[in-house]
Amino acid sequence: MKSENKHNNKGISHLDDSVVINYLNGKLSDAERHSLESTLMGDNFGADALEGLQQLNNSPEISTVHNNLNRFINRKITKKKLSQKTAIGFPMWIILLITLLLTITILGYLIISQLSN
Amino acid sequence: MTENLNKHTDSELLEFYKKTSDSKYLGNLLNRYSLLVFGVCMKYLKNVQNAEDAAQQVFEKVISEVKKYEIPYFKSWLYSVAKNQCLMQLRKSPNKPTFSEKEIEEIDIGIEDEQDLLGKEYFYEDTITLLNESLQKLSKEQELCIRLFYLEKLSYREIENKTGLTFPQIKSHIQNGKRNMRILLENQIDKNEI
Repeated sequence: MKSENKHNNKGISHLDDSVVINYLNGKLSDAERHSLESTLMGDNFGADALEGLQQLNNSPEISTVHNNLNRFINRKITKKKLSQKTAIGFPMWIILLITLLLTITILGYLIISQLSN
Repeated sequence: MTENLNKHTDSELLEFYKKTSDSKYLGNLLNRYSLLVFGVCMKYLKNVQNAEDAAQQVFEKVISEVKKYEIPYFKSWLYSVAKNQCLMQLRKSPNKPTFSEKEIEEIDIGIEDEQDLLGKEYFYEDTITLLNESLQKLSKEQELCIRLFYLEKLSYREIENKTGLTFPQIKSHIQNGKRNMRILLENQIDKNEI
């Protein structure tokens, strides 16, 4: 949404976090409120979300939960990144090391057994 | 230099993520909707802690499953995932009487995507007359709210001040009024075609 926000002279055609918060705080002008409410007539997601957030009566809990959720998303995403590295990078490295050690051992054994013969 | 991801659309970010598996794209996309997903969960679950838990489960699900699906419109897909999560939670909850069966059913089947009668769809020659006729057939409150919102372009807050109605009442009058107008207009159009 941040990328698709359009605030222009004609009004608000897309929702973003700051618009939602300003709406809840009563910081939008009447024209902007009407424009947003008209947009929400065709946006069930946004309309449901605003209805839900309005139950909190502009409580600071909104921004606390919002921040918690963003942190949660980023944590999950980072974990996913790490697990992807583990799945691809780490075992490959181990496999190469084991292969190398095995090759050295076999070659060593073959050389020693040749020499002793 | 840090790439500015905010300039990309949802579809672009999703495409980049699917192509590169770079989680920064998915992270940016999900952060865009975290507040709205929480709002939706709050609407249906009516409790901050439950709503936050539900929203976390929604995002967990999205992170693990987004690559499995062809998603033409991410926002709608996310909305469905969020509503389904709430529905599941409501069905599991032993104290669900705060929500009527009818309301649960409404979430389940999805809210009907209403055509905006005052939008482009019905604007042909006789539309204004038809609209006026059907407006007059609505209840007084519905007619008043629709006139004030669509014709006088007042916000809900201004309508509250002018009429003494509450926010939910205004919203309900506008929605029901629109639905009734649609039925009246469709009947009228059918009659004209016959």
